[in-house]
Amino acid sequence: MDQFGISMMKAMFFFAYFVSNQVLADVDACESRIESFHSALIQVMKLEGDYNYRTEVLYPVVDSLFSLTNIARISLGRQWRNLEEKQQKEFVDLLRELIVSTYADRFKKYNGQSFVTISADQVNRGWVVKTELRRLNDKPVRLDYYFLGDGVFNVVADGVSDLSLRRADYNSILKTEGYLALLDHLRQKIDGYSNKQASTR
Amino acid sequence: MVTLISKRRLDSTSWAKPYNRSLLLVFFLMSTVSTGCSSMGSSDFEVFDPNEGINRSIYSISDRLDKRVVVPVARSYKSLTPGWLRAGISNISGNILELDSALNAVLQGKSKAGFSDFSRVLLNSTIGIGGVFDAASDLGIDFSNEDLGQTFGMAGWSRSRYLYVPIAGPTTMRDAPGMAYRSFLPRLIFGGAYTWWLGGISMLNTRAEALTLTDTRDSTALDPYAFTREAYYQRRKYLIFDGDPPADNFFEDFDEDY
Repeated sequence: MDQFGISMMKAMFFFAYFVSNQVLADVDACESRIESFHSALIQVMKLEGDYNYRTEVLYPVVDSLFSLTNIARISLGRQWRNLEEKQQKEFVDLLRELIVSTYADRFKKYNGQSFVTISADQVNRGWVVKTELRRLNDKPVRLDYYFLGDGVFNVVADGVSDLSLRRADYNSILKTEGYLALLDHLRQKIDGYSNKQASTR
Repeated sequence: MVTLISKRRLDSTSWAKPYNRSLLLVFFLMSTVSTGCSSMGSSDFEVFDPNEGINRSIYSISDRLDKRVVVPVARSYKSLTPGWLRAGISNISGNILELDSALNAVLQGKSKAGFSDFSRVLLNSTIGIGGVFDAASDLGIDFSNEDLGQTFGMAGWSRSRYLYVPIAGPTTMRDAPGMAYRSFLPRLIFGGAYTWWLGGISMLNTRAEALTLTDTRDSTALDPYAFTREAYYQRRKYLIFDGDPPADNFFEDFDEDY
């Protein structure tokens, strides 16, 4: 092998080494972000504050972990492209509010729950962090977080994808009632979570 | 599997024996099942609902009946019965279904899972006092959760027509035979001792244990029919691939953006 060949081999080796290290670093970063998110959920449950307090704590946590624009565009499918920039932003904001309200509704009381990370791997165009929610006197729930770019776009609970459900649900409303009706339905859901908490106080 | 068959020293007369022909049929089914699933992608298991109109009507009637009659009874039952009793009744029903799971695990070529399920049935029926206590789980023996629909799925029956069956709920053409046969399984095992009221209590118990799930669906879904259907297909795909299904391609509409 001539000098040029050896130099090329060295360059390829360093490139492969750099890429594999980069992938490991990204996977580690994803895993650590999920663990922080889980710690925040445990804290929220332990604080046992009211609904408004829980949502206040959860907004920055959700903002930092989820790729809300990706969730919004995939949930709406082709309809996303028909929206103006202002409408897209309005939809993303509504989705953000809905995700926070849903977490605030589900994670309200600490009963010995804990989260365990099972694995973190590269998949398709991103990464997946597989975890388990363990509960006292109940079966554990598998929670897989799918990352694309720098945020989570899909959470799969025991095999059921949150994004697939969202897409099926929203598209059904878009087909039968239209975009404005979809917005109304989402607002009603958010109000529903808020009112439910007020009535159980 | 093929190697196993070729290693058998069978003469021309032994092939004709019914026992050997049945054995070959089982081997053939197992080899088809073990290769069928690996060649399938996520899109093969997508929702297929050409009779949506009829299914929606059945869903609407069932849902109204469920909310007005079944759910109030199930809530009262849940508030009046202790958790350990409900868990015990669930365990007894589960113990019977684990026999079916063991059989299907073997049909899918998962001998270890089949053995594990058979062990669970034996342990829970004896140490677990007729299946009331889940002693096998305490001993770390996992339930593989197989059924006939998953066996068909593994064999390559991926795309299947959606059906909404009154009382029984969501299913597909692929999963319905297994579901129907499972509902008769307690009667097949216990015979006349399994009276209608025992079946009724078992159904009520199942509905009561599913209340949290349906309450979550009702608070989340905008279109509960579409939501239930999608969740059903997702869950079945997850079970067919033993908890590791191929990832969905969510980016087909946006390929040029990524």
